[in-house]
Amino acid sequence: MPALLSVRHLSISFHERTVVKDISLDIPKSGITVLVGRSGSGKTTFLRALNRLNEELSPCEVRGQVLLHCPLTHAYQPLHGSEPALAGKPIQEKEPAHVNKAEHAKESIQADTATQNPVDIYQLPPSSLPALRRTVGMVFQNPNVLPVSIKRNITLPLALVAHCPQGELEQRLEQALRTCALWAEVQDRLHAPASSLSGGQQQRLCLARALALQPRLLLLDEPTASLDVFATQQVEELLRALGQHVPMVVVSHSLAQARALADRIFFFSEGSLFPVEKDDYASNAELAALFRETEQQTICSPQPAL
Amino acid sequence: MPAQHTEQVRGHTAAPAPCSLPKPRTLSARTARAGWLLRLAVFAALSAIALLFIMVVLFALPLFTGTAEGSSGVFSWQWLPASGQFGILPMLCATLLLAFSAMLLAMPLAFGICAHFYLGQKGSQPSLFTRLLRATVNGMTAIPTVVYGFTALFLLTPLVRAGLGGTGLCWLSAMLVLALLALPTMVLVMEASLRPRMHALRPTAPALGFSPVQILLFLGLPAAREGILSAAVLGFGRAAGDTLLPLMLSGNAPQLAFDFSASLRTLSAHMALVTANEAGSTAYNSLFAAGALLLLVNAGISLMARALSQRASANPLHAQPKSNALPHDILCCMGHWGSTCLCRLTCLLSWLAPLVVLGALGALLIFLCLNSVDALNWGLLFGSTPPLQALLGLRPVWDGIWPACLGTGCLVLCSMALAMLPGIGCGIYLAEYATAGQRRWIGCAAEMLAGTPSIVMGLFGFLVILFLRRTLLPEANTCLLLAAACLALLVLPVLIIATREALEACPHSLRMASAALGFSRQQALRHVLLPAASRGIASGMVLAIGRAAEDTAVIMLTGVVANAGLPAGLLAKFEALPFFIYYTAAEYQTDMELARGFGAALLLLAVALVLLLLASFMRRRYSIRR
Repeated sequence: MPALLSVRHLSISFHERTVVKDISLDIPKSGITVLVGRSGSGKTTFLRALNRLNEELSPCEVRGQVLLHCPLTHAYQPLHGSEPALAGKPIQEKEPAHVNKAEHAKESIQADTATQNPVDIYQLPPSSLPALRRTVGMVFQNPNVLPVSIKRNITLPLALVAHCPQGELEQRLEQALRTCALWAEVQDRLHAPASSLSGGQQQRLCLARALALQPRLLLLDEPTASLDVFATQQVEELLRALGQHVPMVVVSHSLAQARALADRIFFFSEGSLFPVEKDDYASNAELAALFRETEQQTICSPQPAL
Repeated sequence: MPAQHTEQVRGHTAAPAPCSLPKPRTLSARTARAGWLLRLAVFAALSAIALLFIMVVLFALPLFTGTAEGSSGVFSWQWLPASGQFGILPMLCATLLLAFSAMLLAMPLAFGICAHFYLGQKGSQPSLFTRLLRATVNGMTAIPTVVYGFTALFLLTPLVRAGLGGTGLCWLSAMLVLALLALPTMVLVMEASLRPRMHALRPTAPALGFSPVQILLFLGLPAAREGILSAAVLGFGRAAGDTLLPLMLSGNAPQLAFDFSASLRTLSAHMALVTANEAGSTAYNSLFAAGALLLLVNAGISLMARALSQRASANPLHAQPKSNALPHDILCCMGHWGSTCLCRLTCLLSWLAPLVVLGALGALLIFLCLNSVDALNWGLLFGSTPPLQALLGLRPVWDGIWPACLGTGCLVLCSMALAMLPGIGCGIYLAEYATAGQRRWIGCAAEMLAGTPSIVMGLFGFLVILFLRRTLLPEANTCLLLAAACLALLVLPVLIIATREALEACPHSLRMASAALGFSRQQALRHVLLPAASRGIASGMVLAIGRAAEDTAVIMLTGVVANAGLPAGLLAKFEALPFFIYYTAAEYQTDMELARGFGAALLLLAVALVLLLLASFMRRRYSIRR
């Protein structure tokens, strides 16, 4: 499958401590890639490296390349051209048959790469970072809504970052909220502070906010870690539906979640990366241990094994 | 890690072999450049600070190098202007003596109050008395010095006169009130340093069987020694920099004082007196020297406090006291009996100090209220003029404080208009754009400015006018605009520090969320961070308004007069409420005028306290939302 993003020999260190060690990886144009691993194994740092968020945290040292195979600045797509999936009822206008999706994608990437050389995102000047982060969106572990109203949470970045015309904002807002199955719950109180929503609702709002910007790739950093069982289930269902339209990289510490969501799984250990076959957990002792732990958790807690 | 996996990754990605590893790039988000408005604000703030220091040093330098006319007399022990002797060394001694004695008196009181916060409470909830004490200490930071001075002049000095004889205007009176003035700063600094350390000791030390007072004395206090020291240093600075209390209470005789009943004159009071009385004479030389000395003393104190707080923040909470730490050594040789005595003493102090402070403060407040009760009516504001006509400006107000109130209002408005952009801009720059080096030295400059006595700001305005008269504008005179500019300089550090702290207190996730959404730095600042920090910034502005409204020393040197009517324009002289109070204390003729002075003092106090309450309310709402 053609790559959307290629990571080449990427190493990242903070204050002389190497957190990510010489990682090479391709992220394809479709499907969900899940990175699993224990906390502290470097997976979040790696995820943040894909849209250069690490440097917002503290000064960091980066070696290697992250090549992006799509144009960085993309015009806002017209409203009715590529409507993202409505929750539970995906609309597939662009990709009519699921089977030849890969081929379809291949064609488009060939067309793309013919005109477009890959960009190393670490060569970008700071002025291009907003464009990069719009192209590669992100949702965090804790739902970090902006301290404004529910509506402004979505329209503010739309207006400022995507330069969406004022007249379209309302439609885009509704569309984004419907996509994340939130419209029915919040349509009566769009002007309420976003912090008045429940944790699960806030996380779906963050997802809607990221999707409204029409990213080419979506990064999710343990998107369900701070949610309860029911909210987790909702968000996971949503992700599975959306994953058919927007490629995603998801960090998770739960193998159960990884198996439920992933098209591909990678295992992180001490800053390095190993691909995992979906049902093969015995090849690595640490992975097997992690697997047993999460299996036990699944048995002990009422978390649904998806 | 198994080797085959590494192989697999390599194979999987099919990466073209890199010819050579590129050099690592160090990336940091702090490389963004600030907009021109912000840079302009920083430039304005820094150049104002630089100008202050340059002016004062420029005028004083000829005296120190001995090149100025009559400069040899400035550093001598005699002040006899009539016979041409202008020595200011007695004033320097008096400043140091008075500040040191006030600090020595305030130290045990401050420690006692801090101890009360830990020892006085039964159970986990602080008692009503403890809460009252905490609120009082916070409220004391807002009490205008001129109100302290005015009230103490009529309550304390008769008592001192009865006790010691003489006029009652002496070292003792000034020292007592200065100790009260410096106390809240010292308590707050001490408490800020003790609290995290006591908190860190909480589960372990009681479990080992230490009593609360033992924990405080033998574990908390040695760990917080930097905080205690910087409380002492800052208290000294506050006492040395104050003008009004020595001016009103210490008698102002330029002599060396050797006992508490003797009169003395401090550098700050000297500056106020010289500018008021000896217009245009050679006595100005001593003014410049006094200003420079005062600036030097307080700059040294700021640097010392800064060094102490850096040492304290470098110390982890559980750091072992060094073997040469003083309290530790004393404890070692004291033995069981000594330590028991010390504990008893601390317990006693933890009740005595709050009672003494609350008693003194209560007496002052009750005295103020009782005396102003007669004057509290519309006549206080408007005299015999009908209120409506006075409000509309149809008829002048002769015997009311309305013109002074309006003058203070104009002054505050102008100074806030001048200080707002540089102060807030500089704070934003420090929090968001400054490199580590810039943070250090701009932060240092702001702290030095915060530690500069207000009379030196006044002197700066005075020097600007002298400079203008000698060079460009022979007609230049002190005026409302000048006073507002000097006051703006005075409140600048308040604004800078409040803005910086409010922005730095924004949760980090907010910055990450904005960056991840593709906001540029300016957009994140404008649309996310500043709105989130707005309450903190607004509370800083309210505090700055309170500071500008109550200050007397600055305007005394920059154009306030006792009778000017309503403010006539930016280039005219003006009246102001704090100066009216000071003037009444010195020049009142009838009981009615005195009662009006008390009324004005009560009004100023009320305004200051309301502003403080407003600021703390804003800050609390802000921290809850965070």
